[in-house]
Amino acid sequence: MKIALTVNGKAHRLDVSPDTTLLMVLRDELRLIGAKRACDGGECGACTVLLGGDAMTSCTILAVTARDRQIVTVEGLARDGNLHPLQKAFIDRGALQCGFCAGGMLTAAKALLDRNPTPNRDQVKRALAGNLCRCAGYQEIIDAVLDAADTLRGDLR
Amino acid sequence: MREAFEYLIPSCVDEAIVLRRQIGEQGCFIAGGTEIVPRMNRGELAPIGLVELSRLQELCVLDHEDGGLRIGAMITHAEVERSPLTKGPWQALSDASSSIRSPQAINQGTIGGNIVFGVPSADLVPPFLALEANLRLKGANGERRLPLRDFLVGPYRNQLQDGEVLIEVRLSKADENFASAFCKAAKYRGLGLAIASVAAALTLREGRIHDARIAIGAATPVPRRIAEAEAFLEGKVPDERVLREAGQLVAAAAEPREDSIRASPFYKRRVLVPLTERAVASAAARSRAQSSEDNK
Repeated sequence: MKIALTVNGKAHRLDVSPDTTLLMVLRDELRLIGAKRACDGGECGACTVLLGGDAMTSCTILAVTARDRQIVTVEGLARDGNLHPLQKAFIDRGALQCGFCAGGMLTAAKALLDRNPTPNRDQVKRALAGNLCRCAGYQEIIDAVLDAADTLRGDLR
Repeated sequence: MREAFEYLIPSCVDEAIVLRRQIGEQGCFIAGGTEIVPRMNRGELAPIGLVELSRLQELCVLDHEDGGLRIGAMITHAEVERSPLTKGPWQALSDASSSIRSPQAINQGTIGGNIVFGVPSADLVPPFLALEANLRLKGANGERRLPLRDFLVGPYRNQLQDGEVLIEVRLSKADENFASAFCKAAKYRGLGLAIASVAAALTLREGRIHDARIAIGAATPVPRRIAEAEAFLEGKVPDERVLREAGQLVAAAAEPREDSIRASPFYKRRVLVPLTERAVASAAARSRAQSSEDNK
């Protein structure tokens, strides 16, 4: 089935089997491997991407269902080789251990900050409630998101 | 005879119904996909074709009509959570939609999917039962309406006939000062799959409860109203003792499953007491707030 997907601002024309998930098309066809395949059932959040600006698990969406929509993966966060403030804050805080959850955590956090530039700690926790970190490094991840929110607001001033 | 797996994109509901009937019983409608896609990934479900519903405009209505509310089957939980229309008397809906298991599922999952799948822990069902929702269904033989309480016949089983689509949920005009609330126990602060849930709707007049409706989820084979608690609450002042007794009546009427992986029957019964207390107290507080708002 021929579909058009716009991923990180780039338009792609693809011929996909209609029962393939968006996650597998991103990874296998487009070689964007920041979204991870773990539970394959919407339980862990490691494959989170933005679809029309909203965080969704790409393992529970068929690629064909995402046709003609704007998709952003973690690879789309950096601009011109410069890391996004969220990515910088994750590094500065040492927020990642194994890093498997990173792509999902960062995209879920981006969805939050795009909608709410001034989240409190509870709002960050809620926005990340669908993302599991098996190293259990949650506190540093939450700290990093709050730091990035500060940085992003500073940039706007 | 169709060969490979097909994904069909209809342009209207009537076409969707035709396509679904052409595929036959091994085809499915697909809404948000949060249930169907994981099952396909695990090999538990292998439809020979899917008919997409999520982009049909006729199913994406969210509007007031004659003082009541129409919610299209493809409205997402995020839309219910954010809409100003699902507040006031119908706030239990927004409580429930914002409690769906993860932000990602809130963005992706639909009201129609939540109802039609028939999961015993479906969060929108207790609020819709307490709000006495009616469903508009459409199939090859035309349209029909059915109260939600008659629609669910068992876990994962409903009254949809082959190829029939849930079009929308309708709520009739609420009485003055009618208010509702939804509370659930889940792993993370009310977010996640429900261990047990309670929806309450009522009208407070001169400090007394009238027309109480209590519905529970994840503690009976299908969510249902608890008539014993409703009758008990009629005319009562919602003080601590009354709330506690209503909670105990709800716990006594529950039929929790022995083999639930989320909680034992003992725990579910136990947690239904404070859930009922909170849902009724919250609905009463909202009813009171509405009446003081009206008197301004």
